[in-house]
Amino acid sequence: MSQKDSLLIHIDALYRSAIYLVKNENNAEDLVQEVYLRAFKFLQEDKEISNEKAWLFKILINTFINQYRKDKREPSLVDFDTIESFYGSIEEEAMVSTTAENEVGLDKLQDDDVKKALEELPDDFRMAILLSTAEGFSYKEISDIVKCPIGTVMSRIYRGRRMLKEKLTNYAKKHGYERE
Amino acid sequence: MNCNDIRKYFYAFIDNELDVEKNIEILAHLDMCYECSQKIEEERLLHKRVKETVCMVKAPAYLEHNILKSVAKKPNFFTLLKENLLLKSRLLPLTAIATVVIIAVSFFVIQSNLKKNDALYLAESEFHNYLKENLDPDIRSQSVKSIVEYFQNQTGLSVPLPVIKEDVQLVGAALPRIKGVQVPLIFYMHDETPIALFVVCNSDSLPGYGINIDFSRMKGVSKDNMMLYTDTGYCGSCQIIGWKEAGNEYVMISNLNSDKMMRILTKV
Repeated sequence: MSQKDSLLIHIDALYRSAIYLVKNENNAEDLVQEVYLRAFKFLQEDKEISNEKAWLFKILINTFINQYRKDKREPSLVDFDTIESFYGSIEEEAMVSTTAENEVGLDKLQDDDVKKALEELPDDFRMAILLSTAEGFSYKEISDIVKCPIGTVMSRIYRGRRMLKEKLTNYAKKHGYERE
Repeated sequence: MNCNDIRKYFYAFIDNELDVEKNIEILAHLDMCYECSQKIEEERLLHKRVKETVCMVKAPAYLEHNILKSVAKKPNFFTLLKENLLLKSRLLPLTAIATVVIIAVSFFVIQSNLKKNDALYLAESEFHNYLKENLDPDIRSQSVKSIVEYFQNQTGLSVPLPVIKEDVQLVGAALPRIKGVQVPLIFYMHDETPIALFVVCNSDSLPGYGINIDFSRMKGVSKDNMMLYTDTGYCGSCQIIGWKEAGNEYVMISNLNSDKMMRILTKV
């Protein structure tokens, strides 16, 4: 198997993340194509790649930020990135969450609900969830891919999931009422 | 650790990001706490649900093809020619098309030459015919007078000969039909080079004997108050010069170059 082929194994992963990042199939195709063009160009320089999937995602995130997000002029979303201790910062929320949505039936959720809720998340949170939940990257890898400290990554994952859960809970509740 | 402490680590626990010690602590708590174990199951379920939804999406089959196509080395012209045109099955029709194109091009080039100045082309062609026949003109004579008489006898009209320098030897004359009219053609030799002086009579003064040549299509050179027109013959080795004198048009066709031909003419 050539090196190009081994990179192309990750095309589905890149494409599904691209779809959630740019929210448009055509743009996702362009984005993935651009990622591979850059990657193949890099291959010509005979440089070694230790973690191909993480490396491709790094290119994906870079390209997305440079080519797509700058157009939208989206402001920095995580104003608590500078925190020194992630676990200290979430203490209050963790306490609050004990009283939350225990009885909500997630089985009521439809694929479109999950999709919509993900798309509604701010870019940085969505990226963190795609990389962790969907693609299974470690926090260290994600930190390298998005070029952020691990604390920031954990913060984004934590808050992203909380936000996502909140949205999905609302959808699930809504479906519950509709059925009744 | 109480429940609040434990729940701070839920996501890291699900993501296998905790160290062994912390992991054991969480597991121990979950064994004892039904509420937390329910909660973490809910998180796991949500985690799984999101993963399933995202991973349902597959890249379209053509995307990989498009990517490989866009990075494939663009073949150069000769490779494309070799791959596409020079296949054995295509060689025959290709040769046929090429032949037709060559014939068409040649035809139009010759046609355009003819159209450009067909009288000159025909005169030059006659000149070459006479050369091939070892200068076998209708009349062989070195006398200007006898040649003028010959033309007069044949056409009933007087054909004035231009004045040529003495070192140019008159060898004979012919009266070929060019474009349906008889045109006087006079042969000279200069330094063993045959020259045809193609006298194009003004058709107004010699009706039926002569054709007009459009000199404006030739390059004009003013020399000693006389306008000479020069052109390259159709064969590529001949030169043509033309001029107007005493109401007649004269054209000299020769293997000599234009300058030499001009020097032969006394007046020029």
